[in-house]
Amino acid sequence: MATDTGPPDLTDDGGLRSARERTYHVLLFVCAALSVLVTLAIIATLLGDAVDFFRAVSPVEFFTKTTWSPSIEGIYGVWPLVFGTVAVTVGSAAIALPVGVLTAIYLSEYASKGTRAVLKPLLEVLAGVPTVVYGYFALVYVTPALRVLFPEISTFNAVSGSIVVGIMIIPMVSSISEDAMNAVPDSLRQAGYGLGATKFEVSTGIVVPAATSGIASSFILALSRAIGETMAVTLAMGMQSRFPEALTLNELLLQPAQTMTAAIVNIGLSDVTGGSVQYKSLFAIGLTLFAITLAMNVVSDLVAERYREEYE
Amino acid sequence: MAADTEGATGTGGAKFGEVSRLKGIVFEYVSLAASWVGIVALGVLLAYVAYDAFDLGTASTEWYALYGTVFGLPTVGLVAYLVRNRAGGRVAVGMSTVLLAGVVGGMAVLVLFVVLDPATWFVYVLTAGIPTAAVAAVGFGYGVDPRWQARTMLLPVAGGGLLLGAAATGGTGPAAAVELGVELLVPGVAVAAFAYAGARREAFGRVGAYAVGAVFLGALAGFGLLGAGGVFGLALPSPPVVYAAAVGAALLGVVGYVLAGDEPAESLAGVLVPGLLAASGVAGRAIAPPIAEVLAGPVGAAASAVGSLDPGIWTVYFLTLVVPGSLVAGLVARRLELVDPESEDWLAVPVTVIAAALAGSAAVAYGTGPVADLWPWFFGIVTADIYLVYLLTLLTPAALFYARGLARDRTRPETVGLAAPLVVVLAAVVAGTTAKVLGVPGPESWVDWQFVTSAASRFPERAGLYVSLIGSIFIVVLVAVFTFPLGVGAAIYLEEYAPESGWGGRLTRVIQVNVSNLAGVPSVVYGLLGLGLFVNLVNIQFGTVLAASLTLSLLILPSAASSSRGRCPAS
Repeated sequence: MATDTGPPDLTDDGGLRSARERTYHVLLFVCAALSVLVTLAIIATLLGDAVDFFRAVSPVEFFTKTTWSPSIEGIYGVWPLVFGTVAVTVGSAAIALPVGVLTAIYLSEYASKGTRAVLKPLLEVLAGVPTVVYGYFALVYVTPALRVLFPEISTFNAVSGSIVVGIMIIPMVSSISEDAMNAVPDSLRQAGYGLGATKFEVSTGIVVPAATSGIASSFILALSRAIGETMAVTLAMGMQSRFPEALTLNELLLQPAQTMTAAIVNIGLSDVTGGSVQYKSLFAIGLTLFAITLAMNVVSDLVAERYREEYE
Repeated sequence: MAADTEGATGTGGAKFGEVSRLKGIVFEYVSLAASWVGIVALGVLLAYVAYDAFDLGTASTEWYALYGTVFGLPTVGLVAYLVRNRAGGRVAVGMSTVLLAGVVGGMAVLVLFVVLDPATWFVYVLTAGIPTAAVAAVGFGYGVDPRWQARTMLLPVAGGGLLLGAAATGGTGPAAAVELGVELLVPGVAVAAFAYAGARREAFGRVGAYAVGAVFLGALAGFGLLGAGGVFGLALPSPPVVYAAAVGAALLGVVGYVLAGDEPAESLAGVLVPGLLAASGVAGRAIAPPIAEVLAGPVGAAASAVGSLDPGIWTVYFLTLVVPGSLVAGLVARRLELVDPESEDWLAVPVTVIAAALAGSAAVAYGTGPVADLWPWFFGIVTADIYLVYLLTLLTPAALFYARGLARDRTRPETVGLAAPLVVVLAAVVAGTTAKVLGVPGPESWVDWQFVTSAASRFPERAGLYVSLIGSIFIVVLVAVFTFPLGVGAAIYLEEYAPESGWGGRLTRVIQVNVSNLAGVPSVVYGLLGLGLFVNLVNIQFGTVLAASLTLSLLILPSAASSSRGRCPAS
C-alpha cells in the first residue's frame, strides 16, 4: 500500500496494517479449515444418497444377503463385496506385514549407511508406482506365472491382486515401523549387549517389542490402504461379484471376486441414471468403505498414542 | 543406529556361541532378502513390460551386438568412471535430472501451445509482453522504486491475461492475429504511458493503480453477485446495472480513501485512469483493421519465400519465445547470482539456446537426404514450431546448469559430468544410425512417435495415447494450480498462526487429526465426493477435466498440507 515512499513514519498506517494482517490470518485459516469442510462434504454426500438407498433397500437385506446383483436381479447384499475386500486384504497382508517388518528391522538394525541410502528411495518407488500399473502387472504377468503353479486359476483372481497390493504396501509398513524402531533409544540396545545378548536377540527381543505400538499402527494403516485400493484390484480381480460356496483354495482365492471399491468403479462406469437405486447404492458402499477406513485410522492413532513407550 | 555396535557380537571364541550366531546370520540374510523382494519383483515386472513394449524379441542378434558395443560399452564405461570420480558423478546426475525435468516440463508447455494457437500467443506478447517491457524500461530509466515498478508491471500482465480469454475465442489466421494484436496493443501502450506518469508523479500513479484494481474487483464482485443471484434465486437488476453499481462503489471507495488519507488532492485525477484505458481500447478497435491490412501483406509474402516451414509461426516463436526467454533466463540467473555475476557466463544460456534453435530449425525444415530418411519422426513429423517450443523448455535449464558449472571452476574434473548425458544420447544416436545404415533388423517397437501422437484406435498399430496424455497433463497442471495455494496456506496456518491452547487449540487439533485421517480415505470415496459435489450439486459436466481436477485437488490437499509442513502424511 502507501508505505513505500516518504520518510518512515512508524505511527502511521497501524490500522491498515493490522487489518491486512487479520485478512491474511483469516485467509490462511480458511485454507486449513478447508480440510474439515472436505470431511464434512464427504460425509454429507455419502450420507444423503445412502439414506435414500436404505429407504429403497432395507439395511437388513444389504447387510445379510450374499448376492450382489444390482443390474440383473436387483439384489443388494453386500457380503460378496466384503468377501472380495477381505480376501485381497488378508492376502496382501500375508505378504506385506512380514516382509515390511523384516525390512524395517534390517534398515534400522543391520543396514550400513550406504545400503540405507540405496534401499530407502527404492522402497519409496514401490509406493510411487500408479496403482493401475500394478493392476496391469497382475493381469498380464502375475496371473500367467501363477498358472504354472495352479492350472485351474482364472484370468481374474484374488491371488494376483493380493500379490501386487502386497508389494505396493510394503513401504508403508517398513517406513512407519522403521521410524518406530529408530525411536528406540540406543541405551536399551547397549543394555542388551551388556547382558550378553547377540545382535539377533537384541533386534527381536528388545527393539521389536519396544517398537510394538508403531509397528501395530503401521499394520493398521497398511491394511486400511489395502481395503481402499481400487484400480489394482479392479484390474486384477475383475468385476464379477461372488460369495465362496466352500472353504477351498480354489473358491477363496483362485476365482474372480469383486471388492467394494471395484463395485463402485463398475457401477460408476456403467450407464446408470442419476437418482436410481443402483446409482444410490454407490454411496451406500462408499459410506461402508469410508466408515471402515476411518475407524481403522482412528484405531491406529489410538494404538500409537496409548501404547507408545515414552523414552527420556 | 545400532550399526556402530557391530563389534559387540563378534567377540567370544569361535566355537562358543556358534549356534546362536548361525541363527543371527540366517536372520540377517532373511531380512536383507525381505528388503529386496518387493524391489526385485517390481524390477522384474518392469523388465517384462519393457521387453513387450519395445518388442525386443523381434530384434536380431546382430542388433543386440551392435547396440551392446556402440551404446552399451560407452555408457557402462562412463558410469564406471563417474562412480570413481564422485564429484563428476554428482554433476552428471544433476545434469541428467535437469534434462529429464526439461523433457517432462516440455510436454506440459507444448500442450499449452497446442491449445494456444500461435496467433493467440502473438497477441498475448503484443498486449502483455511489450507494455511490461516498456514499464520495465521506464522504471530503469528513471530509477523508480523497484517495488512500485513491480506492481505496475503486474498490470499489463494481468490485463493481457484477461484479454487472452477473449482473444482465444476470437478469429484465427495471421491477419486476424495482427488485427487483434493492434486492437489490444493500444491499451497496452496506454498502460505503459500511465506507468510513466506514475513514475514521474507517484501519488497520481498510485491512485491510478488503485482505481484499476478497484474496477477489476468491482467487476469480480458484480460477477459473483450475479452468480449468487442465479443460484439462490434473488431478484437482481439487469447485469449492466449490477456491474455499474459494483464498479462505481469500488471507485467511490478509492475516492474516499484518497480524501481521508493525506494524498495530494490533484492525485484524484488518477481515478480517471481506468476510463482512459477503456477509451484507448475503443480507439484500438477502430484503428486495428487498416493497420492489420498493411501488416498482414509482408507476413504473407515472407511466408511464401521460405521453404516448407511456416515462417510466420516460426518468426513469432523465435522472436517472442526463444530470444527473450533465453535472454531473460540468463539475466535472471546472473541477477540471482546462480552464475558468476562478474563474468559473462550467463551468455552461455542465450547463445546455446539460440544456436540450437537456429540449427535445429534448419535441420527440421531442410532436412532431406539419407540422414533425414533414417530419422523420419524427427525430420518428417516434428515441425519447426513444436521444435522451438520444446527446445526452450528442454535446453534453458540445462544451459543454466552448465553456466553454473562454469562459475565454479573451468578445469575441475566434475565438469566432465556435464557432458555425460550428451555422450549417452550421442551413443544412442550413433548406434541407431549405424543399425539403420547397415540394415540390421531392430525391434519393432510399439513405443514410437506414432504411438505418442495418435488418438485411441480400434487398430492396434494405429492406436496411440496422445489424447490421454494431453488429458493427464491438463489435469496435473490444473491440480497444481488449485492445490498449491491452498496446501501451502494450510501449512502456514498450522505451523505459524494456529493457537495451541484453549478453544482455538482444540480446533487446531481437530484440523490436524482431520488432515491425517483424510490422507487415509480411499481415493474411490473422493470419486464419489466429486460425483455428488461437483457433478450433481455444482453442475459441472460429468467427465470433464475441471470436475476431475477439482476432485483430485481435494484428494491431494491433505498430503500437500502435510508435506509443506515438512512431515509426510500417514499414507
